[in-house]
Amino acid sequence: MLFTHKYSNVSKISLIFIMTGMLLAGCSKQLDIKPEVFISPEELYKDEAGVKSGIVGIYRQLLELKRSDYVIVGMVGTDEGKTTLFVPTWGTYWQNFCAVNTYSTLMTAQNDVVQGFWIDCYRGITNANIAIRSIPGVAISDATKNQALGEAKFMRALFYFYLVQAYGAVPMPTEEVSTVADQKGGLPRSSEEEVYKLIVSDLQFAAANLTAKGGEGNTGRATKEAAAALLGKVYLTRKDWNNAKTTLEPLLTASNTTLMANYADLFVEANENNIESLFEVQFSNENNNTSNLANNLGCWQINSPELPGAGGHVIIPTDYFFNSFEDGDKRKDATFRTLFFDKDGNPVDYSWWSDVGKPHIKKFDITKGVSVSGGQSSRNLYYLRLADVILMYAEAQNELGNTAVAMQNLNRIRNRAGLQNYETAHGATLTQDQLRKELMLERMRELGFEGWRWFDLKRTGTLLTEVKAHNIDAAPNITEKHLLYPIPTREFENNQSLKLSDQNPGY
Amino acid sequence: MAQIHYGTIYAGQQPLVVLKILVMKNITSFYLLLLFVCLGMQVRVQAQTNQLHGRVLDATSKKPLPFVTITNTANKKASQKSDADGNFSMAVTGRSTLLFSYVGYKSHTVNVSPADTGITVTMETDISGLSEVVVIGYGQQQKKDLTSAVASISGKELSEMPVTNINSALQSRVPGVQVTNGGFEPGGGTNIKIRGINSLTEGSGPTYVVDGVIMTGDIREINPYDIESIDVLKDASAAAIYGARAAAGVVIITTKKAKAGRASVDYNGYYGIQKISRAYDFIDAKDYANLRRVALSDEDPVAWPLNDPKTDSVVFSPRELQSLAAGKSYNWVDAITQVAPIQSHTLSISNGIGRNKVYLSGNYLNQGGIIIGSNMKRYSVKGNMESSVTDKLTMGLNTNISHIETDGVSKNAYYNAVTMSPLRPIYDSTGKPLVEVDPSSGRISADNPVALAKDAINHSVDDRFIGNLFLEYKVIAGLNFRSNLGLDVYKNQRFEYYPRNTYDGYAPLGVAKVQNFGYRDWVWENTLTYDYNPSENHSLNILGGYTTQKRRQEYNFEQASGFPTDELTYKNMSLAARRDNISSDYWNRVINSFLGRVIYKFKDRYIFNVTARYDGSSNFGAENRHGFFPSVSGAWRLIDEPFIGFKMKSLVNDAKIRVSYGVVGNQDIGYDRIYTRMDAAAYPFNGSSQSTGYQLGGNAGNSALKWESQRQFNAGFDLALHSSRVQLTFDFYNKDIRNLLLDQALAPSQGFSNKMINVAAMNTRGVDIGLKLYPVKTPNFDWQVNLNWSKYKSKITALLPGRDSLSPTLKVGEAPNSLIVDYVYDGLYQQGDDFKLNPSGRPGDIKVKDINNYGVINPYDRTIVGRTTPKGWGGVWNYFRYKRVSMTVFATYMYGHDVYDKAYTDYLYLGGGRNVIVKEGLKYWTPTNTNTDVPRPNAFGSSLRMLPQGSSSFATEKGDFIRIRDITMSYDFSPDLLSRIKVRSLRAYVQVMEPFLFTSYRGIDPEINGNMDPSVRADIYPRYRTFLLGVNLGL
Repeated sequence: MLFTHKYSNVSKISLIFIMTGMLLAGCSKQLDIKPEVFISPEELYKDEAGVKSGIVGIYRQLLELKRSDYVIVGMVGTDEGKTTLFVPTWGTYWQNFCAVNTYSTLMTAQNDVVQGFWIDCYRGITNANIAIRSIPGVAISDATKNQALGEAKFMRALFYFYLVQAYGAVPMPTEEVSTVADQKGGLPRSSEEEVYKLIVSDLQFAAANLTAKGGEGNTGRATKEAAAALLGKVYLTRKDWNNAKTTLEPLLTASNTTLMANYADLFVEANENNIESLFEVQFSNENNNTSNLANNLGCWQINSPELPGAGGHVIIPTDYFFNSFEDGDKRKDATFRTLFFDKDGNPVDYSWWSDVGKPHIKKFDITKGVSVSGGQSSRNLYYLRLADVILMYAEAQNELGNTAVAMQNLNRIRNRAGLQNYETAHGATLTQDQLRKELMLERMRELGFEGWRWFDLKRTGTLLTEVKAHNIDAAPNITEKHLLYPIPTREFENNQSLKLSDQNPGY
Repeated sequence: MAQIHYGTIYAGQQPLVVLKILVMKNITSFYLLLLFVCLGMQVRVQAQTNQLHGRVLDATSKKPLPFVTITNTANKKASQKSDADGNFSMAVTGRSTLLFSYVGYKSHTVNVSPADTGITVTMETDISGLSEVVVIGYGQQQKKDLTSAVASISGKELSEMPVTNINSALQSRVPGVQVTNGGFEPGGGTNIKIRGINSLTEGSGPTYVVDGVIMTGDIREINPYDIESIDVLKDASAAAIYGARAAAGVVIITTKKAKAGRASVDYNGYYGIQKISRAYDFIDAKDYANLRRVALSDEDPVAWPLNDPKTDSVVFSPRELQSLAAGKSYNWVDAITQVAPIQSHTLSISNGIGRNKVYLSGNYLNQGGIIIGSNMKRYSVKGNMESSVTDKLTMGLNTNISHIETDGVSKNAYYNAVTMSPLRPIYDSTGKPLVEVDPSSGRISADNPVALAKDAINHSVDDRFIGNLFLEYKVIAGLNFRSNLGLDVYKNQRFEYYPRNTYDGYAPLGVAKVQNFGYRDWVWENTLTYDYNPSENHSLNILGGYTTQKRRQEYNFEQASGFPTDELTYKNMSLAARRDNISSDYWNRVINSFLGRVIYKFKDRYIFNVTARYDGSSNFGAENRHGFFPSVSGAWRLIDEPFIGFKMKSLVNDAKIRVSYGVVGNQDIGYDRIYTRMDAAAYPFNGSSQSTGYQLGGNAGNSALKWESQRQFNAGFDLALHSSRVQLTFDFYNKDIRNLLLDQALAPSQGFSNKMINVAAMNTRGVDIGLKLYPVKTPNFDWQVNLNWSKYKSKITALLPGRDSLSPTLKVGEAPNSLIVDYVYDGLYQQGDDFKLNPSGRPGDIKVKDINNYGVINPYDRTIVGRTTPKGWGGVWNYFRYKRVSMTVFATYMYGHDVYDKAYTDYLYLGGGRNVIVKEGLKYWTPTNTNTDVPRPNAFGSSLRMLPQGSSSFATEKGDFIRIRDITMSYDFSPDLLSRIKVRSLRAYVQVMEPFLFTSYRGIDPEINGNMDPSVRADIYPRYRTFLLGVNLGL
């Protein structure tokens, strides 16, 4: 009796331990749980579909950069555009925004625009680097590989080109894995020469390997022609006139690229990705793919009260830009709006409201398109188009002393704008130096508010003089140091490879 | 012979129980026989047996005491319990001594003789609380044996304060526990910090354990009336049994179970009203209109002369001009607020007679919001049952099912109301909220808050099931096996609709959002406990166990806009013109653990405790998945030492010293932080439809992440003097927290925005003091005071190597998440001042200091202007009773903390970010009124004129306060009266919550989480005062 009692207890205890033991078996395996809701870069770059969608992600970063308010970089703080006087009254964010125009004391390493532009560019570069590192190892055809690599390199060059122009020497991560970056949280600055070297080699690769414009399914993608045009712009920026000329020249006669007959048609939504276009930042009506530029410029309610905006008086052209057109220039009407309406379609007079009453830009008019509102515009933004190439080519030829060729190309642009040849209209031809100035004016009239002005002025060494002469808000503040943006604080704080003395002078 | 009176419940019981009675009879006979053998020689009694009937009452209230254990000292096996009316009936043989014992009362002995037939025994409450049972993890302990810092609140204390949320009950009642409100909308959450700041990331607060089930998130689903006790495990020794989840402290909640031998029905209910308790005193429409004219005219007196119709047409909108002409003004705050009712009803049945114990309860709570359109309803049912099939096997089930419906206040309805011009009409001619469309933008210029509150939908539904099924098996004497299977299923649905008369819904023609969030947590715990008492001097309690906990969490969200009509709201999303957003998320997590504890007691006065837990969590990478969390503690019951003489004992009733040291962890990282993920990144190549793509997310994965580990030392003592009428508990603690999880910002050139790492360290040390006083304790008059005071100091000791600051608010030597960093207010500019620092400034504008002397004001001039951690806080609870009337007054206090009160300074002057200003704002600066700190009114907003921008230390204020949290008057009906109407107990009370606030703070609420997070502003939802009428009825 006593024995049985004990025995049964022993068996019960054993049973419990056996049960517990069974429970424990396999418990460490249970801890191997990988979240099923996302993919890692390694998982993505393993087949053709993965490579293609990785490339889409790089383009997406360009959309991110340009859908944000950083799209103003290149437009304001120039002789072409400015922010309105009352924008700073909206608070901190907007004061930082305005400083990019006024070069005020808020134009610091902590400025939101200065930091945000830098961050967005590096995001694009990092995504491109991952693609360039991963694609060679994927089992796909060489043609597919080279097309994908070409697109990734084109995009990397595009982002580095922005960075090197705005900030000068910058940290330059590439597809190579860097132990320095891992240990110090970042790389030191690479010289402008080194950055341009990478840009040129990336664009040469892209120009050699990408499909030609108009190829099947490559609408909106980087093409051979886009790469050549950008490479030409890079050579021009480096004052490498010969290379600029030879790189751009084939584009002038290419069968898949011609000027649109009517300037105004360039800015009709239905004509996006047209024959003149070489590369556009694509936007669409889908919720996350819209841009805010129409809102900032007031490109809504232009002739119909239905499409609302909000704000709309953030960025306006300078008087200098508005008044720079010759009589009969069709571009003036295609570029500016001077009438404003209330919701019932009645004209509104903003004249008492300081500079708000002045002309606004209407190039990105949403009233005839499919956009939902000013803040949700589906309008694309030109990055490169043939008119730009023609003017760059003219510039290169002029610098090479071929003024006559340069004049021919200038006139090609003038004629499309409804103007006679310069010589006919003004009764005189131009010297090399005069043509230099005229070409810069022509670039503003042709390409105004398409995002290049600040870079054009900097490239030609005229930023300080032009801004002082024509941008009343910036004139008192701009100095030599403003030829470069400051390296953002967030980079300094977290990149141990940078010393405080590495900051651009004056900041 | 001996008889055991079981009461009527046994009529018709199943055979098993009958059998049991027979067995017990036999045993009793055996003991009685033994008794005779032992005592027979000395006590020569005529073995006369008599049935003794008696009643047990509370000495002061004279209320019957149910389930008092009555033991015949001569025959310990024959103990029994008093019934629900305090009655008992016991067979007594000869002269006997009966011992009456009951938790919370002093034990009492009564000598009876067979001649006694009916006796009444009164018992006095034991105020020392030493015999109270405290729930510790996976077990319980008498309070006198505790070696660690555990603070408890009993269900009785809870029932005295009708709160809708359990955390509110802990507020200022438990030393070391800091509870702040997360919002005052009905159903709003609370933030709870146990012993200061424990991490940089400030995870989800303490771990809650409900009836043994470890949960996450707060526990507003549980009806406070269903709670038996709340025990807060504060130090590492107590909490280490919960290992990796214990760093922020552990709150153990035990729900009510039926008490053995008792059957009762209880109703608890209250009804009340809630009113705004403190509001801004705004200027009237006339002053307001004048101020706006002055402001514009001040900018340019030539262009905008004062008292000129032309100026008016610029200053005011056409509608405002109409109101001015008609002399009308509108009170927006009144339009959006209301006096709101609140009511709660709980009905519970508890039946503990016999082998099956059942506790059932149902609760209905309806709290109206003081903002129109906000409301919360909670329905909860609870069922706890336990069945002892044999002496060895017990099974039980605890369940809590709740359903909460909340109508939230859409976005900033209150904020919009207090910022609305008093000249703007609220309703249009048809009585609908007036919505104006701005002609220049074609959008609604500002939401009409009344439309927002009434017409926008912000409805959420929470369903939660918390339950566990347990099995307890007594393997052999002292050895118990327990298996506990727990489940926590939570589902939250959120439905929002913004119709065309709201800002969000106007342009897109209606916006609907539907969100589903849910998780399922299950836990299986198996533990063995062994009690071993080899001799009187040694006692050993050993616990060992294995647990596994698994969670699955899901989330999905959809948003669409463009509906044919507002009538359908969110109910048919397929009618929308645009599908704006779809997202979903899903994850699993597993934590497996071993745990063990040994409690050794030597001579009842030296107590040692060794605890350890070994956790493995799927949150971390393979190499850092496991963590070990050991702790040791000891207590010395000084009072029980022989050298404490009798004289000393007459003064000191209890003296105990406790010391503990242990390691606990925090595993609270996002489930994806060890991975680098690619997010969806589409691009619309042909401008119309997008291609799918992927892009690196902002977070760089770190597979080397590990637990935060906290080493905590605690030393404390418990002291009771003067018949326990003075009871003091003191604790000092020091916590060194290492491997702190830190979301490190990366250099943007690295392409990621951040990466979580474990390098930082911090220290938190503090003191918790609790004091209970019983200044007066007489049958007619009682006065009891509970006081507590807590303080802590947290500081970061290391961030990244070589970096003593990562951001203006994260610095070595300072507490994390508690700094107010701003420009330093330097008075107002006066005429003739140098305007070098603010070239566009004018006299009357705010001046800030150039801290770094760069000659310009830039963001580097921002510095620490305040700290939100208090120097001390606590509560004072007073209880007075005169006969049957009692009153409690509960005050809470906090001092030494700063509050960022931009809300108030914004209301102070025109252009400060608001339209409407408070009366004090009329003392604004003018060339003739220069001795003021109210800036001049500013027509174009402050920012342009007040370089750099935004706020300054002008907006930071001291937040010291004393708040009377509640005053309660109650009346207990007399037992005599009640027994006539067959009622066990009846208490009626009236209560005012938040009647008074004493503070020099100028804003609304000095208790807001005063950091610079704009989402925690006082003007989102105002605080309110509640007046309640309630009853507690027991049958």
